[in-house]
Amino acid sequence: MRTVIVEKGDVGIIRLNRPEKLNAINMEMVYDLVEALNELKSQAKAVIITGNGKAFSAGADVKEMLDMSIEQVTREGHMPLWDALRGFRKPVIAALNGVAAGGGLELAMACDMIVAGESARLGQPEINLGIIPGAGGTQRLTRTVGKYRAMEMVLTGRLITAWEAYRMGLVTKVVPDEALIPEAMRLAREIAGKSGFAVELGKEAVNRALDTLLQQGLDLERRNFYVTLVSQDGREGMKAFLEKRKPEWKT
Amino acid sequence: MSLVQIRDHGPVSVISLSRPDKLNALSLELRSELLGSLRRFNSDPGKRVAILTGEGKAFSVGADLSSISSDLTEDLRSSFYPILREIRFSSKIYISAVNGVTAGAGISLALACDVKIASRGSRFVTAFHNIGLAPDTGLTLILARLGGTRFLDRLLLGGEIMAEELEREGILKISDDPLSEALKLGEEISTGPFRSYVASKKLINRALYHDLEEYLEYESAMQGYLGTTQDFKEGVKAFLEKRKPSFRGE
Repeated sequence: MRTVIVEKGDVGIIRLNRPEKLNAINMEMVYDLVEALNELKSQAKAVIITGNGKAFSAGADVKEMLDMSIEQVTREGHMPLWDALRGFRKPVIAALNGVAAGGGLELAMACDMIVAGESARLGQPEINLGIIPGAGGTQRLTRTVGKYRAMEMVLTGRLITAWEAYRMGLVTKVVPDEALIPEAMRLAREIAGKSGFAVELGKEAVNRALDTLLQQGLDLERRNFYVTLVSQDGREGMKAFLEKRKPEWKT
Repeated sequence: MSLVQIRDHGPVSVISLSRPDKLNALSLELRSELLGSLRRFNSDPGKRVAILTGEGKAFSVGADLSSISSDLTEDLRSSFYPILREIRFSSKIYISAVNGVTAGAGISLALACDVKIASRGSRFVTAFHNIGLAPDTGLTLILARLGGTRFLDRLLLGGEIMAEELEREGILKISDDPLSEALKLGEEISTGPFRSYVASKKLINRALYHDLEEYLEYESAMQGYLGTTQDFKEGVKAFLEKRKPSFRGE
């Protein structure tokens, strides 16, 4: 892997590593990210994705995109990355160390939580290139910030500040730049200290809220709840609660 | 030996930081005792007014540098902030009776009280910068809101604020005997329309401190970072060795 750096552990860290290209996502990075996620799948309890250098990611590699045929982009493109993230059961935190634009913001929004250093800028500037977002920049963004703010961002291509994104609910925490990774680690470790199985089922249920009608979402949630009730960790957790002691998680 | 002494006067309690040999420095033990005392007081339906004071020559000189934690973010979030919240967001009225010197997070606790009474000539030292840190436990937000731009220089670069300066801005009252005056006032408050006082406190909280939690999250992340710098290590070392620190700005 050349375009990403992976740190393994209870909390896995993936650093986008094309700093001279502001971590633009090219095909090589797509496959490196897929490989990185595969490596972390079995051992990490949570994963942080962040960028090396000044940017989180300035988006897709425009030069490469321009050179690809429409058949190539349609048949493959960056889909392996989005599929890998969608199938990843552990929570993924995007830690925005700088600009997250276009595909960079789409990558962040494909994660489960977004925290930002205060100098981060976020936006979907595709319109300035005569194209539009193609991996969630009109869909995930709209479901998070609402139609009118998403419309403004997509149609003007303007970048917003970390604090604006915070007010919109797109970013859950803004911290001084120097404190970004410690803060993301703190959040990841907090989650890693829970029952891994319950975390996975909780993540699945929250994600379902975005792509189902309420009743379908409630049905899925209830089933996941039943499963946690009879799971090893669920039984241990409820017992520990009644016995006023700390639970010992198996997953 | 308890580090926090409680004296009951009916609905009024005097809660004293009681580590006078260390100028009531807020060690972890003192902080947990204080938090426990505040929680018990706040959940006691028979209580109305707390007077927070310090025994001996100081109200409190803030964090205890001889036992400072290596993770300042965690220290603030799990220990200093809960104390601040118990005072500021309590459904009781808090009066601080300040004697002598107050420094660091001690200032925050004194100013977080609803009424502040200080002895003449008492000093508030924003000592954070001397150890390479920035003001914490909400001090910048609290003092900037209470005093406007008047104290920004001390918040930015550190230094002393005299009680008389705070009095001129209407932030506190000066008294020759803060504790007696606090007791008198506590008695008046506890026999007055108490619910209206508590409601008014809550309105003040909505007006001045509605965003305190968000601010504290940011502040604690910042302080955690500063706690990893060379200047912080040098600052604490110099303090313990009673010499001037030599900072490098990194």
